[in-house]
Amino acid sequence: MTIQLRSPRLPSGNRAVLLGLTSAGLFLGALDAYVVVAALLPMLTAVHIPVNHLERATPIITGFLLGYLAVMPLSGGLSDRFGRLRTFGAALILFAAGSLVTATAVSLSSVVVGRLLQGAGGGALVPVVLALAADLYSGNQRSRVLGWVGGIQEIGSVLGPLWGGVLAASWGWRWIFWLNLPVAGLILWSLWPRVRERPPVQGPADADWLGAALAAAGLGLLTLALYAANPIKSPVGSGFLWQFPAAIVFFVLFVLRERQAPHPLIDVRYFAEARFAGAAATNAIAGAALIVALVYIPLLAEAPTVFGMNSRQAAWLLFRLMIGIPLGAVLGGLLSSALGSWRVVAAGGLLLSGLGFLILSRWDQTALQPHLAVLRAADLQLFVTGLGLGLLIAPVSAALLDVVGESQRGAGASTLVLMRLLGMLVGFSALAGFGLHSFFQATAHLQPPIPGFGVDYAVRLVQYEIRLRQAILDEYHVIFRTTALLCLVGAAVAALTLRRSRPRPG
Amino acid sequence: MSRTLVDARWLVATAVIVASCGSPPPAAAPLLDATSHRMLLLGSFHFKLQAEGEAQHPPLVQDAEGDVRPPDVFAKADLHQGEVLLEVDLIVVGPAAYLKSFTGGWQQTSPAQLAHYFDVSALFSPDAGLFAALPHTVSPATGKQGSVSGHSTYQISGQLPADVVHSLLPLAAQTGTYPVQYWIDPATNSLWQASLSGPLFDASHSSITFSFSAFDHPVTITPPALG
Repeated sequence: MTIQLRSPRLPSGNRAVLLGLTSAGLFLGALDAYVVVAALLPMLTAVHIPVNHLERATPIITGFLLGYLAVMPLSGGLSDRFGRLRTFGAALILFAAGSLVTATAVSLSSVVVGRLLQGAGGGALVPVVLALAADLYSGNQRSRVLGWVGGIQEIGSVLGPLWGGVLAASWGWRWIFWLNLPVAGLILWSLWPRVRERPPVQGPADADWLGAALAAAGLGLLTLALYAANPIKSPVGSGFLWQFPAAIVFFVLFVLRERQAPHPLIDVRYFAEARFAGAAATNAIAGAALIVALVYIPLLAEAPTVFGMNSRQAAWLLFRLMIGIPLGAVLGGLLSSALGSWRVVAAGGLLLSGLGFLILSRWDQTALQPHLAVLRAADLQLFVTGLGLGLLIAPVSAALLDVVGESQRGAGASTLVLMRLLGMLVGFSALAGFGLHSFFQATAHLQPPIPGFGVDYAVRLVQYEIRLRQAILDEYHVIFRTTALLCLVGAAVAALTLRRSRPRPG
Repeated sequence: MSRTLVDARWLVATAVIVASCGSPPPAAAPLLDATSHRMLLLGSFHFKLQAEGEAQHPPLVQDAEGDVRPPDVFAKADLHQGEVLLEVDLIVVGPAAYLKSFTGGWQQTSPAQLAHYFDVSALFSPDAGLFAALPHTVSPATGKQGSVSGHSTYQISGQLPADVVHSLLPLAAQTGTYPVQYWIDPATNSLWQASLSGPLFDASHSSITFSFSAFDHPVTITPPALG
């Protein structure tokens, strides 16, 4: 007996289904952006990296961001040439391949390669789905749909750390990546007839490969320059002195190339406009602040001598901050309209976050205990920090889109995502090395007691643990204080640049 | 005179031909005795060990690597500390032992105290270590021929009695025997790899694989600068 498979594949032309399925792919990619943050310690143990070499976790984070940043600017142009859904399919396959490599990794290098591929696939999805949404809808509907797509991306990234932490604690971290495969497969299968279709009219070949290569080389070198492979000796990489200038040279060449390219990846001329440059810089600073929270709050929570939480508990703690972001985003939109000002809301958001980081920089092992009535003070502090980072999203986007115009909305949204990830990559690379270097300097002469019998050993062990905990807390305090300062700089940039060009209509 | 010379030539030629056509697999028990003898006489060697398995209480030592110049040792070991791994460096020089852990520099200790972390001296002790355990293998059998990191070897399988295993791995408390495999080059009596499995750390199945290299390479192991 043969079973006739009646395909529930989409009827062609059903744009809601088309957008729904591609957005599901986008959500999957967004979910995985920060999925590792609460699972880092078990992942390191699984690939046999001891905590003495915590710096080796850095490429697990930066690899994803690098892949994302290198591929994302290209994929919009590629989808003009090869068709939206073909490019979408290729990006999703790349993402799934990266998930498979990560899920099966037995060494750190395969985890990093897997995350790099995931980042490349996940990053490529963003402009393609935004462009598809812009193709499918027009006029008033288009803005709303693009807003929705942006929202899906945002919600995915907010839920990612929680998803990763809960899975890592209950089924093991590899499931985070295994589960991507059936979902990606289902989406691909549903869209397959459209993925296989050649676009009726092939668009121009407007992918700026040279520009993309220059940007990728610059970013790669910068990441390498800032990677403290031996944080006991140096807060930056051993090749910093040549890699950093070389990265700058590549970035200068990239800008020169983009000014001449017929179809630039990023229209660098916009950066001459103060509002555009200000919005981009503000978003980069917000990105740097966000990655600090994303990485260091779970690590602090899981540090054995501090809160000693497992991945799930650490992810829930971080979730207090993450949930503030979408709520802040909605509130920021409303406030911007009500106050008629972008800069007040954006600068206010960064000030609030800066204040949040300043409070977090005073946390110690008792920080989770104080309560304000029924609310735990720590929860409120985390929430406010996230709320501030959310508040700036709407005014910063509005200011940037005001410069580029409604027709370039998709490109503008992509620029904002790029700048945020760039801020994450640079901010995290620099702070990770700096933090570990100061930790190892502080503990260079802190000798652990050697096990023996008797009261003496027990006493010395307790003394050691107290001093070790203090060294860990000191490292976090420096990182959070630096981040608070960065937020203040961001607030100043936003206050100075994000002016409205014309009186508010209506 | 010339006749004996010719005979001797014939003998050598025949031996060469037989050898190149593949010698018969060596008998397991004499090979283990000879290999034990040879390994215990090594002036120096490099070792790696790795533990695998699903033990609820994972082994303290997850993996380790180092140089041995009997009885001196320089080793790096990854130890399980709750959810994470902790790397420690150990040096044994004569009666002195040194340790470097997560924080701080080298500190002096005693071999007995060092054994709380990783009893590397016991592992290669001439009386109760791995090489000394080879002749105690019960019902050894020669298996497949193969290549281990570029060396032509025979795989010898057998069982190690619990008391022998216990002196190597104190957590292995089961009575009876533990499956063991050796990869030995019979031409030089060299042990290139060994693998021990069974309920080594708790009731679940685990295994430890040892691999060896750099036999008699010049190695100097000196006391480190403290602090």
